[in-house]
Amino acid sequence: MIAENGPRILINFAGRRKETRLLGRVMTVLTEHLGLSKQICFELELAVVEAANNAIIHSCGDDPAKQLELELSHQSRQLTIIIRDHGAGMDYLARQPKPIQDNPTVEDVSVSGLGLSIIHQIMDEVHYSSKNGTNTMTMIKWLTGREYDSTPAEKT
Amino acid sequence: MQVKSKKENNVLIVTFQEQRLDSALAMEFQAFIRDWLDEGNMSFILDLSEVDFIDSTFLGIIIQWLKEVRTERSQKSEGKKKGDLVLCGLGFKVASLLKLTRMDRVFTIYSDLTLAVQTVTTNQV
Repeated sequence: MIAENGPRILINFAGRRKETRLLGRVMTVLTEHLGLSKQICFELELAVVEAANNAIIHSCGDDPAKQLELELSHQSRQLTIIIRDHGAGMDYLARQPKPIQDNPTVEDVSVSGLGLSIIHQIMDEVHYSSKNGTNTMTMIKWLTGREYDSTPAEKT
Repeated sequence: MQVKSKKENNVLIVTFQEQRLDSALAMEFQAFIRDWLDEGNMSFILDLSEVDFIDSTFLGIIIQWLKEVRTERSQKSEGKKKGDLVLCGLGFKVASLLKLTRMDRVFTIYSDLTLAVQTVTTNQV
C-alpha cells in the first residue's frame, strides 16, 4: 500500500535530447515504487519524455547549455510532473494538440504535434505558462485506484 | 546508431539494435532511410524485437517513411500493392505506444520476424 504523501524529486538536466532517457528511467523508478500498473508506468514515462523533448527542442532550441528542471511529486493520489525551462518558450496556444483519431488513415496522420497529443491523451490535466523568463508545463495524473498494480496491464 | 539491414526477396529487413529509439537518434536514422529509398527499396520489414521504447519523434519518422513508401508505390505502380513497411517483434511499450496513438490501425504488424518475412516475401512474388 502506498503512502498518501509520497516523494518529491527534483532533477536539473541539460537541454540535450539524450537526457530524456535518464528522465524516463527516473519516472519508471518512481511509478513502480508507487505500485502503479505496468501500463500506467509506461504512459507516465512517455509523457515525461514527450514534455522534455518539447522543452528541449521547441523552447531551448537543442542548446545543451540551457538548463531545465523536472519536478515529480506525489500527494493525495495526485501525481504531478513539472518541466521548467528558461528558453524562448512555446506558443502553446498555436500548438494546441489535435485529438488522436480513432480510425486514422496513413494520409491523414499528422506527425507534427504528436508529442503534445500523446501528453493530453495520457494526462488528466495539462497546463502551460510563461512568466518572468520561466516556461512551465504542469501535468497531473489523478490516481483514483484503478491505476494500481492490482489492475492487470492492458493486453496488447 | 546500431541498425542492421539485409535484403531478402526484394524486401529490406531492418533490425534495430538499440533499446530506445528516440529524438536523439532521429536525425541519424533519417539518413539511413534516405539511402535505402535512394537505392530503390520500397518494401521494408522493421524488426523491433530488441527495442524497448520509442518516442513520438522517432515514431513520426517511421510514419513519414510509411507515407513516402505508400505514396511512391501508388504513383509508380498505379495503385497496385508492390511495396510496404511492416512492423514485427513489438514489445509491451512499443505495442502500447502504437495502440495509444492508434497507429496499430495504420501499420501492418506481425508477431515475429519469421511470420513477417514469410508473409511479405510471399506477397512480393
